[in-house]
Amino acid sequence: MGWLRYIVLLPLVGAAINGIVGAPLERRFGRRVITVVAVGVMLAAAALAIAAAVTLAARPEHDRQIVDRLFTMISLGRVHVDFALALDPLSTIMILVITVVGALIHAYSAGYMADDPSYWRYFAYLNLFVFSMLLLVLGDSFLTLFIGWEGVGLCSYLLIGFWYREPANARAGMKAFIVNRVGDFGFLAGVALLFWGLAGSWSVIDHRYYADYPRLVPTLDLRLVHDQLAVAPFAQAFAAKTFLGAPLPLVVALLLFLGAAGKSAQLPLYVWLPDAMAGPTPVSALIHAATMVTAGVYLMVRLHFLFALSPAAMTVIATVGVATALFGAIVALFQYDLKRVLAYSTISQLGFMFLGAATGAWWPAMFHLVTHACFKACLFLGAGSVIHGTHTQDMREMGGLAPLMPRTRWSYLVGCWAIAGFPWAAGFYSKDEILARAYERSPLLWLAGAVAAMLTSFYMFRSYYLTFEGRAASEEQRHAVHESPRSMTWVLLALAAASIVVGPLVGLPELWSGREPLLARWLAPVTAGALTATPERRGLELALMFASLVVATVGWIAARLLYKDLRAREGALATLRSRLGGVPALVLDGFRVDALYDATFVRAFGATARTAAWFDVHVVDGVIAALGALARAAAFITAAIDHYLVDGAVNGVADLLLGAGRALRRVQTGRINNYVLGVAMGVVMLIVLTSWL
Amino acid sequence: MTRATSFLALLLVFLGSGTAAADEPAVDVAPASLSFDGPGTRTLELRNPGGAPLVIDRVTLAPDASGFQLTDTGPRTLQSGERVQVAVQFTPDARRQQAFGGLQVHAAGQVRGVPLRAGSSWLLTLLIFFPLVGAALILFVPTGRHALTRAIALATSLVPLAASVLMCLRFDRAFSQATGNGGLQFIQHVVWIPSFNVEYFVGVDGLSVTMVLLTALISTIAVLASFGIDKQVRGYFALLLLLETGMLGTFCALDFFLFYIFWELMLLPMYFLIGIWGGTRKEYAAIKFFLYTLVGSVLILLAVIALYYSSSPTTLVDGTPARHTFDMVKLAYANDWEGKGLSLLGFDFTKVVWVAFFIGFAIKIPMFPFHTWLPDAHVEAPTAISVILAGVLLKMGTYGILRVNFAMLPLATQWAATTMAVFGAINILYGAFCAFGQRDLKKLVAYSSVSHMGYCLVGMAAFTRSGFNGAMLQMFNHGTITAMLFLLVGVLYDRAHTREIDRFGGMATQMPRYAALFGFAFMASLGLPGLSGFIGEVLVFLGAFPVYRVITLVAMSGVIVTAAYHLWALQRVQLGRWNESWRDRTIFNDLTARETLTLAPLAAVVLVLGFWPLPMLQLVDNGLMDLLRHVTGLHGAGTLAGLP
Repeated sequence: MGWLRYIVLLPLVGAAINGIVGAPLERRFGRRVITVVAVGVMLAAAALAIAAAVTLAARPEHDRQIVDRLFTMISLGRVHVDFALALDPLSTIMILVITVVGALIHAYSAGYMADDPSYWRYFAYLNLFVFSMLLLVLGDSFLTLFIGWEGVGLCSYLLIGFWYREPANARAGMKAFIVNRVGDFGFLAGVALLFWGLAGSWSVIDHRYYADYPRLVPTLDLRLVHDQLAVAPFAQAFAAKTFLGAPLPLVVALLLFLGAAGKSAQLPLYVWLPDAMAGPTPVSALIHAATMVTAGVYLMVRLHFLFALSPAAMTVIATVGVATALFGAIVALFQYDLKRVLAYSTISQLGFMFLGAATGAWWPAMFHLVTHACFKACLFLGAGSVIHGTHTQDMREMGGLAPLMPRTRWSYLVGCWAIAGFPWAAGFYSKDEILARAYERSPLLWLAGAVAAMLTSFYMFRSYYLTFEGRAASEEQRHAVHESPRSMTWVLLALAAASIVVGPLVGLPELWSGREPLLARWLAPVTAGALTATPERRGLELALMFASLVVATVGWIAARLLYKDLRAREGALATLRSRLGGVPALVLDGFRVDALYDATFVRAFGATARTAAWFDVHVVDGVIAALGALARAAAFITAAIDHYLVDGAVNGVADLLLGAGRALRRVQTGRINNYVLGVAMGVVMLIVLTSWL
Repeated sequence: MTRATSFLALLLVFLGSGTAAADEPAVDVAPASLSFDGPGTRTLELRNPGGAPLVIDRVTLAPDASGFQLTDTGPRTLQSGERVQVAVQFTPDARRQQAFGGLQVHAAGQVRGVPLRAGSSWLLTLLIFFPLVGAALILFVPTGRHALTRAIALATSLVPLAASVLMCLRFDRAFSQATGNGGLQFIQHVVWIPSFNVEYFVGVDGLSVTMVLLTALISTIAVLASFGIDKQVRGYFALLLLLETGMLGTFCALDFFLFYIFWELMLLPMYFLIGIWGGTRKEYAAIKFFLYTLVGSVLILLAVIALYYSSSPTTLVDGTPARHTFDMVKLAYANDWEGKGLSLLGFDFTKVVWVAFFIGFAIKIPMFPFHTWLPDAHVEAPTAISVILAGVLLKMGTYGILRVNFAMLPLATQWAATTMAVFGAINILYGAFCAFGQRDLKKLVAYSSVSHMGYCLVGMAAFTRSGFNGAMLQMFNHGTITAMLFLLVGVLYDRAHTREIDRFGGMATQMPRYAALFGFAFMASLGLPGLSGFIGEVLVFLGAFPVYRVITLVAMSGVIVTAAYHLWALQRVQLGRWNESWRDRTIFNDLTARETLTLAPLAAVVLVLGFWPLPMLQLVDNGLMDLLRHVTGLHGAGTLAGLP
C-alpha cells in the first residue's frame, strides 16, 4: 500500500510550502494562497484517510492491516528500524479524527486568524502539527512514534507561544515543553527497559519457541512487540524479570504511563495544559483538546497488551485517571476564564479516558476519545467564536450573548449536552460505557467517576449560562458583539452535528441495539484477547445508565438555578462564596499546585544549576587555578634558586677562576730562574708524594 | 611552541638510542621497490656488488605481506657482480584496493627489506596536505589583498571536502578486518624514518571515516565564517588551514609518531588563533588551552614511548626487521599487552598506560573534571575557531580513546569501563546544569558540548553495538549541531558585541530568519526526534541500558535538564518583548547571504540524518564491530550478532 504515506506527507508539504515560501507567497498573491495550500492539503489528507478506512473495512477482519515502508532508518543487528507506517483499525480511528476534525479546524482558522500578521506562520505550524500527529498514530515503531510524539510537542510549543511577544505566552510554551520532557524521560526509559526486557527474557525460554517465532528478538517495532508478548511463555518470562526489585511489566507500564501522563495532562503533570490556553483558540481546539492530548490514551490502547501484563500498574493508572477526572472537574468549577474552564474540562475528560483504558475498557476509551474530539472541538471553537466576538475570555464580562450569536450559542449548547452526558448527544454513550466498566472493577471508581460527571455537567452549564444567558455585562458590549462569519460558524454547526450523531452511530449500546457496538467490533482485531467479556447484567447496566442521566441532570439544574441569570442572583452567590471562605480562590488557583512546583522543583532546579555553575568556576577551575598558582610559586622559587644558587655557583666558579688567574699572573714573571725553581719544587713535591704513597 | 618541538627532539633522541646503525648493504636490489596496479607478476633482480662471493640464505615475504606470493626462495651463492631474478606474484582478493608488504632478502647475516606495494592510495595524503599547500600559497599573497586570501582559503578547504565526500562514497561499507588490511581503506603506507622505525601510514576505517568528513565540512564552514576577519588576514587563514591539515592528519594517521606530530600540529595554530584573534581575555584563554592540552600531550607522549619500547619485534612495511614499532594497527593487534605481564611504577603496565592515554584524551573531550579550559577558550575564541574547537577538536578525545585505549588495551578498557560510564553520566548532567547557570550565551553553548560529549562516553563504555554506533553518530552529529550553535552565537555577537543572554529579548521579530535557524539548532541540540541529535542519544540509551541500568537511567534524566536550559535561553533571546536597552534596532539586521550559507548546509545535514541516519551508520558499523569484537574478546559470530 504505497499511498498510505501521502496521508502523512501531504500536510508536511503544506507546512514546507507555507513555512519556507509563505511570506513571499503572501506578499505576492495574498492570503488566499496560504489558505488554499493549508486547507487544501488537509482536505486531500482527509479524503485519503477516508479512502484508507474504506479500504481497510473492505478487508476480512484478520487482514485489516496496511503497512507502508518508506526507508530503513537504522539497521544494527537486532536494532532494525524502518521508517514505516502501519494502518490498523485503531490508527484508522485516529487518522479519521485527526484529518477530519483537523480539516474543519483549519477551515475555521482561516476566519479566526484572518487579521493576524503571521498568517502563513500559523498555518505552517498547524500543518506541521497534523503531519507529526499522523506520524505518531501511524508510526510502526517506537522510534517513528516518538518522532511524531515530540513533533506534536514541538508544534504545541510553537503554537502556545505563537504570540511570543507576550512573555507569558512564551513562558507557557516553554512550560508545556519542559513538563512534557519529564514525560518523555518516562517514555524513553520505558522503551529502553522494554527493549532490555525483551532482549534478556529470550534466554530463559525453551528453544522451541524460538523456532516457532523466528522474529522473537528485542525490537522497537510495535507490532513485533505485540506478537512476541502474545506468546505465553515469552510473556511469562518477561513478566518474571525485575528492575530494581520491582516486576518489569509494572515498571515499564508506569514509565510509559509517565510519558502518556505528560502528553495527556494527567496528574501530576497536567500543569502545562491550563497555561497552554495562551495559544490561539483553534489551536486549543485541535491540539489541546481533540488530538495531541489524546496521544497518551492512544499510546495506552496501542500497548494494551503490555499494560495488561501488570494489573498493579492498571490499578495505579485507573486511580490516577479518576483522580484527574475529579480534580479537573473541581478546578473547573470556579474558573472565570472561558478557555480555562475548557482546559480543566479536557484534563478531566482525559482522566475518564485513562480510567476506561486502565479498567480494560479499551474500546470505550477510544470511543470517548472520538466523541470528546467532536464535542470539545465544538466547545473550544464556540469559545473561540465568543472571544472573537467579544474580545474577552472572562465570562464575567459576557452574558446574554444568545440572541447575538445564535449559531455559536446552539452549537455550544449541543457541546454542553454532549459532555454532560445526555442521551441525545454523543458523550452519554461513551462516558456511560467507561463508568459501567469502572463499576465492574470497583464501585468506588464508579462513584468517583459519577461525581466527576456531575461536576462536569455543572461547570459546563455554568459556563454556558454565564456566557450566553442572563443579561449582557454592558450595553456597549451588546452593540459591539457580533456573530462570527459564516466561514467559522458552519464549522461549529458541523461539529455540533457530529457531537450528536457520532455517539449512537458508532457506539449504540448492545443493550439497545441487541448487537455489539460498531466501534467495539471494529477494534476487536486490535484489542482481541485483551477484551474482558462483559457479564450479562442488563439490570445493573440499566441502573448505571439511569444514574448517569440523573447525575447529568442534577448538574444542569444546579447550574441553571445558580447562573441562569447571574446578575439577578449576585446576592445568593455572594453568600455562597462567603460561606466557602478561601476555598474558591484556592480552587481557582488550581489548588496552587503551580506555586508548589515553583517552590520545589523549579527552585531546586535553579539552585542546582547555580550551584553547579559556581562549583565549576570556583572549585573545579579553582583547583586548576591553585595548581597554576602553585606552579608559578614553584617557578618563582626555582628562578630564585637559579639566580642565587645555580647562577651563583656558576658565577662563583668563574670568580674563583678569575681570582686564581689573577693570582697566577703574578707567578708568570718571565724570569727563567723562577720557572726552574718552580719546576724543581714540583719535582721535589712529586718525589715526596710518590714515596709517601 | 618551543616546548613542543623540544619534546619531539627529545623523542628522537630516545628513539635513536634504541636503533642500531645501518650496515652497508651486502646485496643490490633493482628496482628498489615493487609496485603493482592490480593482479600480476613482477620480477626483482638481486646483484652481488662486492668482490667476494655472496651467499643469499633465502628470500621470503615479510610475515604480514598478505596477498603476495613468491616463487623462488632457496639459498644460493652469487659471484661478484652476478645477478639473480626473483618473481613476485600479486593475487588480491576482490575487495582489497590496497596491499602492502615486504620482501626479505636474508644475506650475510643481514635482512634487506624490499617494499611491495599495490594500489597505494594518494587520496588521504592529498586530502591532508592540500590545506597546507593553500597555507603556503596564502603567504605569497600581496599585503592587503584580503579577497584573494579568502578565495584561496575557501578553495583549498573545498578540495578536502570534495575529496572526503568522494572517499565516503567510495568507502566499502562491507569492508572489515576479516577482509584484510586491518579493516583499513585508502591506505598509504611507506617507511618514513627507517632508523626510528617511523612510517608514513595513513588510512581510514569506520572509526575515522565520518570524522574526516566532519573535519572537512566544518573546516570549510569555518573558512566561510571567517570572511569577516580583517586583522592580519593572511596569518589567520594560513593558520586555519594549517589547523585543518593537523586535524585531518590526526584522524588519518595510523603511525603513532605521525599521529603525535599531527596532534601537536593542531595545538599550535589553535593557540595562536585564540591568542591573537580572540576576545578581551584571549591571552589567558589561549595559555590555559595550551597548558591543558600540553599536559594531555605529554601524558600521551609518555604513554606512546612506553608502548613503543614494550612492543614486540616486527617488520616495517618494507620488510625490514624492527625491534619496536609505532604502527598503531600492530600495536593494537600484534601485541598482546596484557599477556606480556609488564609492570610500570609498580602498577600493572597496561593500566598505567591506559590511564595516561585516557587523561590525555579526556582533556580534549573534555571530560569532567578536565573541562574548565573549554568555556574560557570558547568565550575568547573567534566564532570560526569555536566552531572548529567544538565541532572537531573535541571529537579527537573520543576518537583517540577508541583508536588507542580501546584497540590497544582492551582488558584495561574493560577494567575502566564502568568508571567511564559514570564520568559520562556526570558529564551529561553536570554539563547541563552548568549550562543552565550561565549568563553568557557562548558559555552556555560551550557547556552544552560538555554535556553532549558525555553521551559518547556512556555509549562507548557500554561495549554494545548500539552503544558504539550511537557514540560515533553522536560525535558526528554533535559536530554539526554545535557548529550551528556557535555560528548563531557569532552572528549575534557580531551585531551586538555582547553575548549576555539577558541583554536580548524579542529578537525573533527583528531577525525572523535568524530566529528560525536559531530555534532549529536549539531543537536539534536538545535532542528533538526527527533531528540528528536524537538518534545518537537514543542509540546510546538503548545500547547502554542493558549494561548499566541505573547509570543510564540517571543519564537519561539529562533530557529534561537539556530541554530546560535550551528553551530558557531560546526564550530569553528570541521571544518576549524587545529589550529596550537597544536604542538602535537597525544594528540587528537579519542573516546575510554568507551567514545563511554557513548555516543552511549544516541544517540540511542535521535534518536528513535525523530521519535517515542509516548511511552514517553503514559507514561506521563494520569498523566499530571489529573494535567491539576486539575489546570484548568475543569473536564468535553468534555472540556478537546478538548484541543489541
